[in-house]
Amino acid sequence: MLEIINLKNDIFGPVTLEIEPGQSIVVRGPSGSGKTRLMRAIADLDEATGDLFLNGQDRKDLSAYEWRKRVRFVSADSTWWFDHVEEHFSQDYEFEENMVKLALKPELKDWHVSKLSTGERQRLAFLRAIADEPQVLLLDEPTSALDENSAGKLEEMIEEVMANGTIVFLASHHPEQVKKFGPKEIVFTKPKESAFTKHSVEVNNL
Amino acid sequence: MDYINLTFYDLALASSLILINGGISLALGLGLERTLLINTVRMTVQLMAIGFVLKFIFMQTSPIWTISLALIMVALAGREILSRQTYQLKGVNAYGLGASTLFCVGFICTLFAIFLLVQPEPWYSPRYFLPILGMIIGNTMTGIGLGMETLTTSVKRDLKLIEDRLALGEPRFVALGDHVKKAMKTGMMPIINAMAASGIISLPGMMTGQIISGVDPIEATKYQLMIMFLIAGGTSLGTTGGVIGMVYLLTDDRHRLRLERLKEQK
Repeated sequence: MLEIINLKNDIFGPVTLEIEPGQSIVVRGPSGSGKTRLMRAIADLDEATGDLFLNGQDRKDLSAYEWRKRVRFVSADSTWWFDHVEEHFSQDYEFEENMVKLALKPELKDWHVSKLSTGERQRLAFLRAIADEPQVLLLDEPTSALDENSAGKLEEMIEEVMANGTIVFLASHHPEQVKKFGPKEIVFTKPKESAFTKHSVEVNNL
Repeated sequence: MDYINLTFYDLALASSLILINGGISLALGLGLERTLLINTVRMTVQLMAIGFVLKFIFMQTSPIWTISLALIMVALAGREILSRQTYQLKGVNAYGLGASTLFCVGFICTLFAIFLLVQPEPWYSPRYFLPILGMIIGNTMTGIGLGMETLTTSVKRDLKLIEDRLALGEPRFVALGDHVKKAMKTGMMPIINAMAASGIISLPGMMTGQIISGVDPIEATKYQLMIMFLIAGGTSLGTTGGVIGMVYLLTDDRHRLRLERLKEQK
């Protein structure tokens, strides 16, 4: 179980919620309203006050990288630091099975990263993020570069990791995705009058 | 020692070579005359001034004077590091990191040379202490400056990549590992190249000076070797300290990148 208690910083207001293993929660709101910021804060990549507990364990009792081994933020556009795809995965990683599930050619693993298309990179970044089985996945528009077919495959794979107990946060603009991974949701609204007011956050259906 | 003193007439004659330089600049429209003039005057004044300061300090032979001048040298070299950075840390760390690294390394290496190698009487004898310190910090300064510059510019460029690595659960020194290595290599490269070139392509200034003033070439070589070892050691220590320190200042204890602590130098 992930508990978020009064999490806030100068971008978004306090968020408090509890979420059980295997459940998903949609994060939605207009671009620039703070969706990414909230997810980065849950992964401890951005500073925020408040408490985070994963299965009763306090974020503060774990080093930041141990926390991020368990709570994984995946950005919409991925970067790659080695020359070849394969080098970004551990040596015993089962490419074959997982790549077929995402409609990727298995030989892609030997490719130079620069040859990949945007969609291939996004799907491979998802595989890279779930390879060491984090307990919480924070997905920032995970299908933004994908066509309908491969987006569907990726959604199936998200459901598969949820079936194994992974908690999934999903920032999305697609109404169908919102429906599929809702109804639990965090909704951001941009302040209308002044740029200095904090973005308001609403937690629904929990 | 058969040492020939230069007269001011000799110097004036030598400076006429600068006039040729100026003439070329005028003829080809390079527009360098002004800078050339200013820098020639600046160099002359600076060197004359340090000559008189050294003469004064040599006459004192007191630990206070030696250490005071040594501290001023470190302070000025610290400013030099800062002025070469495209991105600077905000606040006191901007100057503090480079200068404190330089201070530690400069004094450790100089005191090592003074107490274990040269062993002059008294130990604060300025004609040993100050030139040795000067050569060490002059080179260490370049290593620290290059190392920090390479680190900050490459981290700034690869911000997204480093954050992706941190998000995958890598500790800061793993996520920044490639950048740290590159920065350390860049910082140490000049001294490594200088070691390969010295004696063949370049005859180091200190050795030349000693030979001209009548020291036996073998003795001059021994001094030069000692200095090169000190410089090489100082540069690697300084570069390591500057780069590692910069990693700590660009990240926080939760292993986040904190690039808002940098500002671009105008």
